[in-house]
Amino acid sequence: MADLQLVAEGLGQAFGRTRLFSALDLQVPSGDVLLVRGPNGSGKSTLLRILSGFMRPQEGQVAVRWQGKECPPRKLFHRIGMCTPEMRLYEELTGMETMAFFSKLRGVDRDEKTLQELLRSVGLETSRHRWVKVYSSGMKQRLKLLLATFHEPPILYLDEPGSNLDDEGMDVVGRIIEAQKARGVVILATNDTREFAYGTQELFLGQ
Amino acid sequence: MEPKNSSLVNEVLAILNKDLVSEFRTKVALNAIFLFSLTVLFLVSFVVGPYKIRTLDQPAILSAWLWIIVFFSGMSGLDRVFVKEEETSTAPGLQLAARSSAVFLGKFLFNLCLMGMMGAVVTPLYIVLMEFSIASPLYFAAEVFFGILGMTTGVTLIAAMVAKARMKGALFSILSFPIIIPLLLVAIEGTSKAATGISSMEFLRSISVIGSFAGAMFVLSLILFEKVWIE
Repeated sequence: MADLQLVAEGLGQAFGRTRLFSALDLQVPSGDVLLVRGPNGSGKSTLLRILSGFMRPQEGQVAVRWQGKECPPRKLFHRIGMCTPEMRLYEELTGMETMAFFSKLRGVDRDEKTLQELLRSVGLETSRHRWVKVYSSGMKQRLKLLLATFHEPPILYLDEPGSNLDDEGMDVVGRIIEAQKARGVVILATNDTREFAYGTQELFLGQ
Repeated sequence: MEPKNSSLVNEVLAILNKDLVSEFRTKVALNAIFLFSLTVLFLVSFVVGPYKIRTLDQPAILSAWLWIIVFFSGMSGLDRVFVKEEETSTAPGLQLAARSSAVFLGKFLFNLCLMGMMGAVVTPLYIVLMEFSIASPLYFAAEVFFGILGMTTGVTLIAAMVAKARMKGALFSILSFPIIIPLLLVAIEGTSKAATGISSMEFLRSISVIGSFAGAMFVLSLILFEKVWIE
């Protein structure tokens, strides 16, 4: 397991007059799953964007502590896994081409057989040569989950990972989170009661 | 944290390959560039043709028109490479997985491929249709190639900036035009001289100006791209 900790101090964010959160302190060590809950518009996705480094917070700061060193999450994009509704797939590529493309970018040396096995693990092996465009929304979600985790990142950000997934797909989410707990940190933003049990820490926004 | 395992070259080639496969399947930028360039080319050749221009003025006027076609054809499709990533929300995945420099280089090479294809089709057609007589064909071809290289270098960063803007519309042409003007002027003069006959010294002077422009824009783009791409 990676010896790391995701730390946020005094985080505050507002859009216009709407304050989403303020003076938020977080410490998420390896092996923990931070469950972020809250009603729509409470700032769950915004918090994930801030914690992952995609967005600078108006107040406070975020850092990843690893082996005594501190680093802003923005510098660790290549070590992050992320699956959010805002991230989409290349519709004109096949599932297999998508996997091959991202494995080259991530520097994860995987041959076609291994990629095929990975696609099988999320139930997409038989549709691997079909364009993503013709995938159902559940199939796209499975591929996104696979892309977020196949490079075994120490930090994984999941925003509504169970959206559009059937029971079998929810099992995939469960397996992914359990595997990630053994590898590092999980930040899970969700309102799906089926996913609440994965959390080892809980943060409720919008109070 | 350990550095990335992938090499820059592998990332650049993966992005270039992905964009080429994606483009040949959708043909959005290809259609825009080729439809524009061929339409203008045929309009110019049918409406004006080679005979309405005095022979003495032909090299300068025909060179200027050629670059106007090349410039606006580029403007009609070169921004797609970034606009598409933003509009289809695929940019965040690419931001996470690839180095910024690899994204810039991959997209730059893709744009160069598009413009190279356009130049390879439009320039000979233009020469034939306009009966453009060229005294130094090799120098002329080199001027066109380096002009396209310089233009692509200059506009790729602007395309990334435009993709982030809400009002994309004509922004790409408006921002690109003042930056590309010096290059266009040198390229027009270079191709015009190559048409009438150019000495090696004049050719080298013209190419070195275009090369300096392209080099400066390339280095500047590499430095600035991360700010544009990630912020």
